[in-house]
Amino acid sequence: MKLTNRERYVAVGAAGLVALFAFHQLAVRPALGRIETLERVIPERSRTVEKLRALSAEHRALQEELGRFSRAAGQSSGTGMLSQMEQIASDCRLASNIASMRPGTTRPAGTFAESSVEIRLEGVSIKQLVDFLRRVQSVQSPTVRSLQIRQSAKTPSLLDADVQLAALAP
Amino acid sequence: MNSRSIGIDIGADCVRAVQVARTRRGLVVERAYAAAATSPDVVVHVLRELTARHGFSRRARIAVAMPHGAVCFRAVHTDIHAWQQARQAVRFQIEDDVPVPFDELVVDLCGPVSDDGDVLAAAISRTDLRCRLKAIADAGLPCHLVDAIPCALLAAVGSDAQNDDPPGMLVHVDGSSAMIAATQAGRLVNARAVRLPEDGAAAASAQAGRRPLRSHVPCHGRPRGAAPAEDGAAAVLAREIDLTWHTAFGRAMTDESLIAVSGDDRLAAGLAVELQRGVAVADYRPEIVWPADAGRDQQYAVAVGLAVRALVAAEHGVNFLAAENAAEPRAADVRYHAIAAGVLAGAIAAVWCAGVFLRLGRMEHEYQRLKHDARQVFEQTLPGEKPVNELPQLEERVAAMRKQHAELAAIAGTGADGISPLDVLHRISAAVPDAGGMRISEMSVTGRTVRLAGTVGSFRAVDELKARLQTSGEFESVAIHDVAADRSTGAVRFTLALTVAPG
Repeated sequence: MKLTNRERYVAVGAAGLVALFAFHQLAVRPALGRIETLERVIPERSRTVEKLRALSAEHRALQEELGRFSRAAGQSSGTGMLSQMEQIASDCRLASNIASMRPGTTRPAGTFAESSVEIRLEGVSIKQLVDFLRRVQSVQSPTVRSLQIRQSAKTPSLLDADVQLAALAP
Repeated sequence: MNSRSIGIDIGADCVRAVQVARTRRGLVVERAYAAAATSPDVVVHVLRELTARHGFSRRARIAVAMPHGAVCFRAVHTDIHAWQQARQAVRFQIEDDVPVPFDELVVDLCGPVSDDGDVLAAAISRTDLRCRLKAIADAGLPCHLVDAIPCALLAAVGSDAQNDDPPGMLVHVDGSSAMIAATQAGRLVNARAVRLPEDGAAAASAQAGRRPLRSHVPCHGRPRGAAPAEDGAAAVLAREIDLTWHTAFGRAMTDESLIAVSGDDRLAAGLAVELQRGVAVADYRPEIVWPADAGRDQQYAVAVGLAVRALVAAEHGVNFLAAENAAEPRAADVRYHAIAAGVLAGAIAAVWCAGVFLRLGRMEHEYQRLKHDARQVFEQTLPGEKPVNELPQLEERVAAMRKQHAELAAIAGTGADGISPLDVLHRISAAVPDAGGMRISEMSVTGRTVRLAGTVGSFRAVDELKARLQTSGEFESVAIHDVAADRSTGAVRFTLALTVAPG
């Protein structure tokens, strides 16, 4: 079949248009859609990476802190704490003022436990009490969890005090 | 430049084609072919077969002529001698003299403007021109020149222009029409198309195609028909020749007047009888070389003339195709601008597409890099854990660690509060006034919460104590829980609840 020039031009033009349409539908349009998606996703992903980096840094810091707690827990124990407190009280000349020293209950804190000691001091001056607290505070463990002071019933010029100490235990 | 051309004479009932080549010997007729064709479809078929079957060159320049009745000739006078300008001016000059609407009018000049400003203009309708071009295009052939038959005849059988050439007359018969052209000094002076009586015209036309070529010049499909010339056609032609002569030269024919008939000696004889003077059969120019063993077949005169015109490409002469293109510069411009715009649009589209895909590639690369970074950070932070959704997984893990850390920090006394009971004692000692008879009887410190009980001298002193604690900046909140007067001592007992400010 022979075609005239006009028919050939029309055929070539139509084929070109079909090819262009197909190219647009199969290549350009999906590409534009993908660009639109990536324009939305890339900033989100970028923020996600920044958050991940921040969380990663925090994770490292928390890991170091927990490691420090773990080392501290390894160094302390309930019985050691009693003798440690007795030694501090003796140093502060409060050995005779210790009415009681009771190891407290332990409760689980993650992989660690909490050991506590409640010391009752009777008839101590405010200076002795402050010295005692200062000495306790100077050691790394245990720490003073609570303090209760009241006027001594026997000698009103002196104080009775309940000091609760706590420390991490492995 | 192409050295071959094909002249195609599409007559009323016959198509004749001649291929001419320019060689050192001159203009050599290489092929000639004639076939009967009485309908447009047959014409197209015959034209297709020229190159497909009969060995005509596909690369030769092709010239065709407009039919007799389609061309109007007008002798005009103009002061413009430049060809293009003269052609444009003449178009306006003859617009009222030809039966073609101005918008349809295609005009060309049959030769250069004489020194006196005289020139013969040929006019056709644009529709007729397109109809003729369509026939050629339908056959799949290009067309380089569309001529008028008198010009083609003059190119084939005329003599070189000499100022002393006597006036002459060329006659060409095709079907029921004839073309009479007056020449002088190798130039066309006037031309007319004449309708002939039907029966006589058929006979004359048949005779015009009767003479055979010799064998070694390919010639096939010769139209049949050899009816004797009718006296009626010769009489009509003789009358019209006489009239045309008078119109062209303003005087009667003399014995020296040359009258040549294209292609038929019997018609010439008939005319000689009618005109009572000698009438010759026009012979080809000497530079047109026919093969030695082939006759100089006069039926191909128009086709040979067209081929010569296409080959010589004379600057001056009718070419309605060129005139049409020159008269319609906007169409050419529009096509040029459309092509340029299309190319530009295509280039812009290509650049845009390239930009789109380049951008897509860059964005994909960026996205993959971010994904890789996220995966890398996750794997470095939580090695061994399978990443599914990195951020929620890591958030969950860090939240658990925060909680555990807070619990352990609270036990270890290094939490966010960072306040020991000794610090609380210091803050209260600094804030509480050492006056007003205030005595602290009981104090408990748990974390940041402090309970303070004691006595003061008056209720006002309680308010003052509260105010001082609040303004000290050491406590977030100060609340009075219980205030009562002790009747036995006259003092006022109070209980305050404090919250120590952090850090």
